[in-house]
Amino acid sequence: MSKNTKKVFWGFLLFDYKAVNEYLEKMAEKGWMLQKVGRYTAQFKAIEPQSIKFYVDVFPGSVLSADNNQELINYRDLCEESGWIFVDDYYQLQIFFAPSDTSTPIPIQTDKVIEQKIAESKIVKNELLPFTLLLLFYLLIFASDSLNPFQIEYTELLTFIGVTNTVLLPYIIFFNLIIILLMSIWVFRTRKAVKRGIPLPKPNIKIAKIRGTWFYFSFLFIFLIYFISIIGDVISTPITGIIMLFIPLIGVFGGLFLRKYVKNNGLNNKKSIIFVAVSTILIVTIGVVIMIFGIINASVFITKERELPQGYEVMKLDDFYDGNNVVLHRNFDNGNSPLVPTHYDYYEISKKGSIRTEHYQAINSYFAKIIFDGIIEEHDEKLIITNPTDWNADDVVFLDNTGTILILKSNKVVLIDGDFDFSDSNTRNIVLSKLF
Amino acid sequence: MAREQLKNLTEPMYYILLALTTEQHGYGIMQQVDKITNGRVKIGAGTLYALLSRFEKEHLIVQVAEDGRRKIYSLTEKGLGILNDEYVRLNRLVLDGKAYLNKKGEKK
Repeated sequence: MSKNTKKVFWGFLLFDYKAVNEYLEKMAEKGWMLQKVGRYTAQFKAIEPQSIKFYVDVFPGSVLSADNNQELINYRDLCEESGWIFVDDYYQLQIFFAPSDTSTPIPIQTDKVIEQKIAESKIVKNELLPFTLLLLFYLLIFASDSLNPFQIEYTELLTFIGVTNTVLLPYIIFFNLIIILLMSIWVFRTRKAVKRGIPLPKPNIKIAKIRGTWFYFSFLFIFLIYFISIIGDVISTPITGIIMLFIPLIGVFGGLFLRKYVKNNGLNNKKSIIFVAVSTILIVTIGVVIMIFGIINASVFITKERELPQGYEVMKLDDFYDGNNVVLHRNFDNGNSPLVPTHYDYYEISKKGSIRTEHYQAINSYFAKIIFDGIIEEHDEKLIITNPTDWNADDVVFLDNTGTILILKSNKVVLIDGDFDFSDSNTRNIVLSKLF
Repeated sequence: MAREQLKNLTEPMYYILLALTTEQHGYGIMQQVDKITNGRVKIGAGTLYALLSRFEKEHLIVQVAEDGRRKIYSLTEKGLGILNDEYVRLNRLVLDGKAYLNKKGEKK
């Protein structure tokens, strides 16, 4: 980028459009004239510092209008004829300026009732509905997690996405709530101004910048964390992860394709609307098909038995039957997450019996305890408490019967389930010598 | 319904319709309103655009020709009727007020 131009973070929320005029005028006084603007960045070019009048207006047409939309052209032509020069637009907002050597033209909006109605219907309603729907969706996830939404589900700790949901969901709900609140305040204040016959309120640039920056950085932060989480899960469980990755990818590419189509062709005829509707249904259908196919395929993959790799501490039938045993089925499954960097599950089945080991290694004893308590909660009907010192552990319980034992030691949780009596001291010694 | 909604025209609505008693394009309307009111009433391009779209939707005006990229509009029968109704209403307001306000003025 040359010294004659500079790119800056834009960061204005759409309903703060009235603060943009003042911001652009101040930039011009400092010697920077707006060239291009997007929702995230704006490009300025160097000019002689001067006083330039700007006007940001809300286009009353459709947000899905094409760039060559005749209505948009007519609107801009009319504004230009009245003395305003078009600079650029983003979403519904149209930015104009009046050259400094001419007298200031008539403001683009001279009727605040009409201006308020356009701004409310084109900016707030367009965004309020998706944000409200999103909030309801997140609240549903939050509430459905368990009877007590503030209790951490141990299964959520085992995947990257699960950890992200647990940590970020309250923030996402807060984020949505604040945006809905800000929009509602905007609607209330502008309606009140119209009723009183006073000019529509103009937000302070600093406040507008702060909330805009908070919004876009939060959005980016949430997006990045989820992106990293998906990648984490793809690396952790490649087959299921990669198949599942296709769903957001189809959404993103499908969305981009539709956006490009609408930009080029507009939505001015029934044919286009039918095309977009059919494409949207197709994108969703492909997503659902891939998801179902992915689940089936993943389960097919999981039913293929995996041998136990080296370096994992598990109980084997050979440990109890002195090698005199033919294993008919075995399977190994593993995964990881930022809070539980290692967790795996291994079982063996023979004619004589079966044994399963679930092993969870959390980053600290706090999360290990959540896993320990979570597993107990799944079996709380027949719980037999045993003495942890016998097992050289922090806590030990038999679940259902003495054939299933759950052990907590520091940051490690081990569940062993088999056709053995773990209350027996010999069996205990076998397990202790192998796992602890 | 539309007639009911537009029963009392706002000042910009009234002058736009008044300007359209002769065929005009958008910017022409702005100039005409300025001329009719001796610069007292100014109509911004965005306000005009929104009102023209609404009038067209409610068949008060109609596009009669195109001059390059400019659309030229004219009043419809319905539009003329609404403008006339408003003119009569405003006259009545003035007449009603005249007797009282003139007397008051004389007292002063």
